[in-house]
Amino acid sequence: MRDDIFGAAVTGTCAALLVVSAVFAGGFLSLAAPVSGEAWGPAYGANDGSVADTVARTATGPTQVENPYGEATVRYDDDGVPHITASNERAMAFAVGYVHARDRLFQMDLQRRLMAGNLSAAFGAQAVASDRFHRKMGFEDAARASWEAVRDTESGDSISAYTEGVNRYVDTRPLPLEFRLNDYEPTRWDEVDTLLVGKLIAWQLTGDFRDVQQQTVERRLPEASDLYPRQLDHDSAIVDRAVGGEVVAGGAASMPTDAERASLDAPADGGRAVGDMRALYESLAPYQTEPGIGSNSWVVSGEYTESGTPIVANDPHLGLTVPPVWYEQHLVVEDAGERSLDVRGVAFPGLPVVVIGQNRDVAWGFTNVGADQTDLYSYVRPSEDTYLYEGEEREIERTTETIPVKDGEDVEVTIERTVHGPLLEREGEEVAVSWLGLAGTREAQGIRGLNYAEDVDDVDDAVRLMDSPTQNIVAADRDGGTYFRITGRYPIRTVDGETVPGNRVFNGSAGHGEWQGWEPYGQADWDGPGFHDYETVPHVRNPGYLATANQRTMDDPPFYISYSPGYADPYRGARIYNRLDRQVERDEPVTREFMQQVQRDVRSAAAQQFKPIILDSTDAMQPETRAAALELEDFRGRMRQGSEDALLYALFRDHYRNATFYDEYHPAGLDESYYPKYSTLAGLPADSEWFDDERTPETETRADIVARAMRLALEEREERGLETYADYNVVDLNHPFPVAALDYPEASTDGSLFTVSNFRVNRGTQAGSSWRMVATFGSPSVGIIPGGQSANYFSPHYADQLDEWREGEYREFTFEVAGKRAIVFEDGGEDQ
Amino acid sequence: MSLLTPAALTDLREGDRSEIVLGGAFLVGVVLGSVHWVGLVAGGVLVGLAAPSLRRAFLSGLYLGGTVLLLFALSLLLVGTFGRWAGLGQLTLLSGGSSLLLPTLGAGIRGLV
Repeated sequence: MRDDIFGAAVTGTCAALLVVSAVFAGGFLSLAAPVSGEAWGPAYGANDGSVADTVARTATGPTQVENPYGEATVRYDDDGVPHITASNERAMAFAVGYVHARDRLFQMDLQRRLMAGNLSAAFGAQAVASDRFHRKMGFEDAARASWEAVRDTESGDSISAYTEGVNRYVDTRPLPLEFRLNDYEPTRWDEVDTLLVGKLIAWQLTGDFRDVQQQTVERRLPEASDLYPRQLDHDSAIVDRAVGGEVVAGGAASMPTDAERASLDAPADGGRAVGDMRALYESLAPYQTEPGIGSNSWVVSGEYTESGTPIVANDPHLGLTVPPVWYEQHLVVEDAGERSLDVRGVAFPGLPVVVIGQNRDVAWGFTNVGADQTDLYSYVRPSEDTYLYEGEEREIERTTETIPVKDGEDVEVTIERTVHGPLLEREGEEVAVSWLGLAGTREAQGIRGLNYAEDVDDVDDAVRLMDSPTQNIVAADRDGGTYFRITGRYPIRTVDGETVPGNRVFNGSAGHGEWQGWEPYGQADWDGPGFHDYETVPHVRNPGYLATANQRTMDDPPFYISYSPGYADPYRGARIYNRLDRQVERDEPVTREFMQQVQRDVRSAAAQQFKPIILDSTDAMQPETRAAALELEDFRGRMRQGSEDALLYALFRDHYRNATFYDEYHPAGLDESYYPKYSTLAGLPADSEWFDDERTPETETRADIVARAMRLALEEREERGLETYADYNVVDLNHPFPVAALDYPEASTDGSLFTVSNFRVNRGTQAGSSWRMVATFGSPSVGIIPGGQSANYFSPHYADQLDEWREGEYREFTFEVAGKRAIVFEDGGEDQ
Repeated sequence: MSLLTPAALTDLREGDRSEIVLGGAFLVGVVLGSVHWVGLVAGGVLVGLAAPSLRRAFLSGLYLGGTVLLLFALSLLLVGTFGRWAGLGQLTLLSGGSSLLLPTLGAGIRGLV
């Protein structure tokens, strides 16, 4: 009897534990149980080189997939790069869609959810604010407009086939781990989703609310206006500093002064954007172009190269994410021995084309212009439901959408639009937003054209269709042609018949500054009177060499492109030009290896500018601080991992900016995101009033502030236990999911925000060279991404390029179709 | 022997073929445990019912879970992803832990029957 009671107790306990497990951990058990766990689906077939995969391929051949558009074959090489050959463009696009979904489906889904305002449905209430913003902006409607613009073109056909390829994968293959971890399934891909990814890229590069930010500074700290000049003080403008070539640009524009502009600004009475706009700006700032998004590219003609053919270098500095922003691919379309496409480079997952790269005839790369592509409008509002527009009272267009929220209550959002675009409001302040990308744009066609280009004339034709985003393109062709242009369209803003810049909030009620022929969510007349003549947009034919690093385009541009807040500090651009100049002056030929060295250059022109300022200030320092500062005498500005000097300088730089501006900006309610650029700080005279700390009775000079910043830098170094730059400059890239195993391993790297080899450590999402490429003709090109090709955690290509990227190494690439056949697409027999 | 134990079950446990019965239950349990996590529990129940003693039931459940885990590890080795699985942290622990615990707890039925 005692045994029975004991036995029953044991059974009862076991049963109770099982019930508790089932109730509280049933989902986790479904996820992680051995063999059957949903998390392990992506583990099978993730490693092409495994025993099982080799046996399976030998026994049954590669994976077979039916392709409605024709035959295609996918081979993955040793780096996980797909080499896709297809019999026609649509068969290719279908295969690309399938492969993108195989390797990056969660990333693709995340991107479209972000832009469509659907994150909350998958991730819960934490994403509601983001969804609200993106729905109010109406990016999905803008993507629909772009789809309308391209659907009846070859690009549209390609996007449709790509969409089917993505959905074939979604329908038939195991979903990535992330979907399992978060317990949701992706909806089917749609053509508009591809255009939505294009909008995401364009918005991240050109969408900003700088005008509101600038107005906020002017209202709160009017004495700071000199810190935001129209042009930064440097002589490294892209076009002006270029060597050789034919510069084509309209005559220099004359613009009204800021004082003259003041009378043309937002309405003085009744407008809702005439006062302090900090709250509005700060509610919008998280969704705008992040500071620090920049890039390098340069082209050197055959006149200066050892090979006699041009070389193109490009490294776009975007957010360093897990998985990487870019996906490398090699696409070949060949029918009956005739090859119509052979292009290799990187794509954004979600788009069926190579965005940066080269084909056998042409190589090209992009950097951001920094152009002003967003204008803001304020209105007189006779009532809550109406606004005044050119003397007429108009209804605000209002619709209500429901944001589904996972594990929470749905949220309703009211979408408001005016004739100029979405109306955004915060604490009584409001503006309507015209962002160029809110209309139907044809960049998908433009990029496709680049993939097929045979010379720089074709490049010129292709980029004519890149209405957005505004990019510096450098290109070269096999026959020696070189090329530069700022892509995109540049709106003409007029007030009372006078052309004005777009760096203010306009009086929308008076119709000031609006872009003729442009309609939000509609089709624009890009060649009409609302935009500057495409032929006058700055471009250079056959430059000897030309470098872009987000510095201003020209000293005297033919029209308003942007002012200094839109452009980068000149340090990287100046450094690239200096190195190219020196190489040419020495009569040393430019080689691929030299281009790689420049791309990995870690000498900071900013450090060289700040160093004498530090050394001139040592008299104001305490002995211990002075001793540390004097150690920088031998510092050559090289931001290398092992350098103690680089560490001290990097810490000093940020303390110095804060020590200079905090006492004025903080009381005005402005944080460091409002501070002026570093080159502006470096150029302040030693007796500038900005160095006087308003909180103290003494009058401080630059030396006092340098001494203070150096002391703070030393204290920080001590507190954080930092010894060398390697301890500070740590690459720490994390997956969007809070699962530590999905993050990339942490390790240090060279470079800083102002070196050509670019890495920005102090950001929410670190940024840097998201793809390093040096493209040549006739010899292998090189490239590398910061991470790996596959987003599948189980793949050997999850992060296999990260260490080489950190160490500044490259992987060679050619047009050889390499690797074992992994996927064979068989002709499904439908009409093509 | 519990009052709830059917005589037929007692015969199976104590008969000449008791080890074969237990072995059969074990194999069926491995298959079930590879299909779904509930199968791990069901497999444990099967070996528990077939085991001649409570101690043997628990051990059989544990071995059953261990075998499923071993097969899983072997399959991951063959597909070349074992190392990645091992590095998954909590998910690794959960898969290993559930594999060993669920059948063992299922086998606890032997205490009552």
